[in-house]
Amino acid sequence: MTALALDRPRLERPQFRATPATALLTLLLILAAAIAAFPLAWMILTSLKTPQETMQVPPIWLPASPNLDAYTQVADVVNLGRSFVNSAIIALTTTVAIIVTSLMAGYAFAKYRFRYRNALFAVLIATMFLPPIVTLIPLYRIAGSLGLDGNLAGVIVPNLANAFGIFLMRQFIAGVPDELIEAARLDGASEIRVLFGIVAPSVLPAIAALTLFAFVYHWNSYLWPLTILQGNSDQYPIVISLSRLLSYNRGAMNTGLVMAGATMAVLPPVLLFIILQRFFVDSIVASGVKG
Amino acid sequence: MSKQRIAYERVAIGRHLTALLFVLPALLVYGLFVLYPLAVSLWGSVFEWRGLRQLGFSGLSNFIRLFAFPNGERLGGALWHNAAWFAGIMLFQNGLGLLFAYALFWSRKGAAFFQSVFFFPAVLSPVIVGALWRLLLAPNGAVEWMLNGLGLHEGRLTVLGDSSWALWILIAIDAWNWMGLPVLVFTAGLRQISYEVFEAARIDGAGQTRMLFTIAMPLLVPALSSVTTLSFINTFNQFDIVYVMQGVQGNPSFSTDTLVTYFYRLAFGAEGSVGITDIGLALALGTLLFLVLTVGTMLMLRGFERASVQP
Repeated sequence: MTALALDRPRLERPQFRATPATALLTLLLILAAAIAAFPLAWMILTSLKTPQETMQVPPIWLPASPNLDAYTQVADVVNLGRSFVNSAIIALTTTVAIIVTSLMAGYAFAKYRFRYRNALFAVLIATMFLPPIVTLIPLYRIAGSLGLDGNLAGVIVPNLANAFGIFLMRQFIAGVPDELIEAARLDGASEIRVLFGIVAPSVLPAIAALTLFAFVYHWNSYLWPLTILQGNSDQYPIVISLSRLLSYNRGAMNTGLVMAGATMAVLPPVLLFIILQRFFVDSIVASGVKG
Repeated sequence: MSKQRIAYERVAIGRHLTALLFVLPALLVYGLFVLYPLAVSLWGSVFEWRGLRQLGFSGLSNFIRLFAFPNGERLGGALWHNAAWFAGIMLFQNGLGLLFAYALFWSRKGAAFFQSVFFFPAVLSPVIVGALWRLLLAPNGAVEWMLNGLGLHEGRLTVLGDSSWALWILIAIDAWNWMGLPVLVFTAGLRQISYEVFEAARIDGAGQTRMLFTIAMPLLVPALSSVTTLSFINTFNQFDIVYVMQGVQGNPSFSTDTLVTYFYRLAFGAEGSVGITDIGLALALGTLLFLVLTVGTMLMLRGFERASVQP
């Protein structure tokens, strides 16, 4: 066995005997995973219950006859269908725009030398993690003076570019070999062609991660849409409609409706997460761990 | 100048222009909607304000008011809650996350499955997180029923209305929300360590617990660095969960108040009995928050850099 190990690199991890400590840890792991999954399971199960079942004490786990009544009823209270479309418009346009602007700026920061490059990048990093609320008032004033208040454009336009996206793209594009880019240039490709034809395909995992990040963030965003839409409820994204449903509902306690709305609101980010999670893991590793 | 030189210069200028064109869209949006509002906010913190009107230069008087009675008490409370939040997240989210990642690293199967399950809550909107947990933690709710059933608790569960519990409940919910991140980053970091290091230690007779502290942790410093820094930033940005679950006052009796909920009240007029806005005070708090975040993050990253070892 030792001879074999010397011949080729050992990829097998060493084995350990199961001890009481590892058994305890495994148990803890399973318990934690159950806690992680439980609220989501509860949400979906509750959305399938009858109003009587949602109010039962002690609570019941499984609805006796699962039905979608809550989903049809919730549409009568708030216009969730319209809100769903609004959220989709907001999340999709911002995501596509962020990908394009981040790729362009990230490419310039990674592969060009220009004046103030490092200073500009430092400013981006320093302001990347500021609580958005701190700049809410001046931001609202600027957006308002540009005629962006009260409509979806106001939600979208200030979010067409984002510092984290630029940072992520720069980190990944820096790893693309210069020879690859030079070769394309010698073949007569324009810089736009180089970026979207050569560089972008070689950082696809990072693009997938940024897609997931941007979509989830803007699908879920609450404070800025609420501020800029100025009570124009036709334009509300689903998260705001849901919170209005919650406040209507405090007295009536028709929990099933709220959970049906929440399940609808959760669906797109969860589906995207399932599709893109592999890339997401890879990029977190590459951007975070290696630094 | 030779022809070649001129051609080269032309290419260089062309490249410069392209770089400018590539940076411009992002810079325009970011500059107009992030940097400019930020500059206005920082600048405004050294002025006197009446309502939304900026009056004369007032030096540091907003900052002095922020630290003095009666605002100092709120500021101190919020700072303390943010600090406790950070400590709680480090312990419950990142400490447990490291332990789970270590367990998943050794187990042959199921690592990917557990990673996904732990990460799922992170894609939820804070509005939904808040609504779900309010429902689950309500009197007569599912958690009360389970705790009572297990004999861990008796009677009505009223933790969200209890000022000695509420903050810790919110921290636990935040840890639940983001547990997937440390699990993901730490398992990835562990996989980059060569098995031979562990094998050698095993031959020397080290157990798993010892390996965690003497081998894994020192080699995980880059991963620890990103997780700690992200948690720090996240903690001092904390607003959503408090806002959705306990309201903008940080109920009960300000026991879950954070720096950002305090900022919200000052800026949008929900602070004090009369509830008028105090923009000067709000902007001073915003500037303080900006300083805490940038200086804190920088110091943290530098500290971790010094502590990192080469495998």
